[in-house]
Amino acid sequence: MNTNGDSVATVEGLVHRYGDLTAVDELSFSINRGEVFGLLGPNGAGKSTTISILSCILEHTGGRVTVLGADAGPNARSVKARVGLVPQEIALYEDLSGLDNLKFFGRLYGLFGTRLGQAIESALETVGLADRAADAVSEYSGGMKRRLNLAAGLLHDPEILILDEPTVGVDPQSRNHIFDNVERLNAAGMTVIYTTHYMEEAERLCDRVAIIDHGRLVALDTPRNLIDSLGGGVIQIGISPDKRTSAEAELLSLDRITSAKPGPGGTLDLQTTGAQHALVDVLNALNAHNIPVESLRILEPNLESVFLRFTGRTLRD
Amino acid sequence: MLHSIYAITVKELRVFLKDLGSLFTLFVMPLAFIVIFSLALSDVYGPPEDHPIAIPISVDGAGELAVQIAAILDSADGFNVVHNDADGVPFTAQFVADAVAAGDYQFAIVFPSGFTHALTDPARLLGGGAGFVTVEFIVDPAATLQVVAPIQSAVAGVIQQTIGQMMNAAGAEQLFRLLELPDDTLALARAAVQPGPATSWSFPVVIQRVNPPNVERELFPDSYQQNVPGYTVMFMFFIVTVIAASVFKERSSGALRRVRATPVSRIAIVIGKTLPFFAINFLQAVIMFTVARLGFSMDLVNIPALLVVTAGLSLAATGMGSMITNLVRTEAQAGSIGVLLILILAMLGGSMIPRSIMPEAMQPIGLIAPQSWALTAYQDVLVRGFGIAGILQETLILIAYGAIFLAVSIFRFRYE
Repeated sequence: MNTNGDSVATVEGLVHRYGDLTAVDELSFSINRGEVFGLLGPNGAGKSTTISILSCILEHTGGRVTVLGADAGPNARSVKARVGLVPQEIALYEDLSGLDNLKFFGRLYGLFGTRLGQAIESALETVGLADRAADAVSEYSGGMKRRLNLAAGLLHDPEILILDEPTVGVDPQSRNHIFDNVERLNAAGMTVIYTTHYMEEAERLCDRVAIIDHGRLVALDTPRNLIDSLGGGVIQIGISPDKRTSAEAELLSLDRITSAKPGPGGTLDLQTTGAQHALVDVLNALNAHNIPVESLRILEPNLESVFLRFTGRTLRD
Repeated sequence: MLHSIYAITVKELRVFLKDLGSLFTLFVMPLAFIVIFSLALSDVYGPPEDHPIAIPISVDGAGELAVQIAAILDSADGFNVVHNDADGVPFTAQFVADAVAAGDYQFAIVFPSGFTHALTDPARLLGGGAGFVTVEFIVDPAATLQVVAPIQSAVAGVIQQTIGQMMNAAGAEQLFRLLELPDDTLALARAAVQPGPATSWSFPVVIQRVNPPNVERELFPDSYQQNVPGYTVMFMFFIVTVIAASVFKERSSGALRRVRATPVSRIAIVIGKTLPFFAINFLQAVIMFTVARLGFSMDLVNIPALLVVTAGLSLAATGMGSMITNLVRTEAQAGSIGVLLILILAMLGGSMIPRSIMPEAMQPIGLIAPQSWALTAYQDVLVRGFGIAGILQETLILIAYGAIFLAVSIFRFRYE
């Protein structure tokens, strides 16, 4: 992390609707200069819509979004010149060579002559494709296309790099290559906005993570703090409403249970010092008082569990 | 198995009914063709009295005999002779010539001043040599020989028959007077020489086929000069499908969405995407004319003027391609609607059949098609021998079409 505290993007009460569908619903957060900011959520959570608005290719229907001090929107050309977008799809021209693709996108960012040549050379070096630049993109593997996709977003040395699910469908080697690139670029001072539905990516790369579900912000913190909020893990237990109060009193008296609060879908979330061991104590206590268990789930301390805890669903649901 | 066949059949029908492009191609396109072609060719088929050919005739100062010939022509099936304007003032020779030059008519006839007097001169009637009287048959050079020749023959036949009858009767009357025949003998003699066909005398009228004013080309261009512009104009508009394929491919790959993330204006994108197709379209025409020149020795007459028209036409065609691409939602729609529009406009504009043989009411409708302006300009150069100044108006109209189409494209441009 290389943050210096000032904000490069602010989202306040962001709303975006596609007809009757509300894709983003009152979303608010800010992104600090130099951080890797993760947008974590399942498919359809509103991540791509949010970053489309942040990268000024989509006009939002409500709220306010400022990027690099200016209002975001399709006409914010000064913002676009300072932001690099790496879209989820391989947005390249398959019939052209890698080099020709980079020349095209570089020119759209106002690069010509020596500056363009240097920018292409640097971008190809970064993604490790210098030796394949002359080949047609159609001849690249999926991972190589992803890397070239990334290179095209780096040509103009943007202050903010927005990566939308950059590792979808790539082999482990290319995935690691992309991780290394993100870490290296961030270490050099570039702010990175990274969307993913892979928790391990967010845990590895992101300084802060905004968890989004159904277009709403569910949680926002560092991955460590979000995971720590689960303590030694959470037992999510379903008990019929008429027995919930008495069960809660019994369970809170157990040594390995540190707190109990309502969870999604009428469940009871039990914070533990160690979920596996606490589970035996919980089941014994409920059996002793003839309280039937309707559902049971153990949330290990990771971002997946954080999401599950807040939404009652997994990231891949 | 019947259930499977039923399920597949129902599914296919549902998919088909949702495919507007296919519905359009299979149902709307043939209907549109049948209706428009039938309307356009309604004057070519059916009895001639239903759709007479309009011929303006100048009988200004030509006398009673010319008026009489005009009346006979008018009464003949297939001709509609006009020799007075709305106020009843006879057309002048200049007026009818200009009308052909302007493309209002394909033909006109001018009887020279003193026509009747010259033909009824007693010396001529008695066989004296008084030279020939020339009747001008003004023909638009763009009219084909197959159309012109029968009409000219018919006109010549009427003139010849009328004058022949007149000369037989009038010449005999003159002779009778010189012989001072008694009345009863005179009556018998007159009855004996009642009008009949002219026989063994030299016909004193020459029908001369001439160009309208300011047209310097020879009459009747060859088939290449007729066909190359027509098909060049028609096929240049097929750039619409090429542009649509390119843009929809770019949209589906997400590349255009990515372009939107760059600091490039929509105007720059539309113009940038149009220019290469403009160049390709221009080259397409250049190649067609070059092949016609080198392969078939077609006279290009005025190459700079052809290039100017081609530039305007390419702008209109690529502009239309860009506009259709941005008005429709799918590539299939661009294909079916685009091709239908191209063919209908090509037909209305005269690329397939000359506008001049369409019903009068339909001819102005053809002016909606940019193809008609391009075709007129090409024919002005190739057939009528005009230079750049002569095709400037049509070219400017083509440029205006291109500008309007591009403006709509910019307004309706979609990245996704």
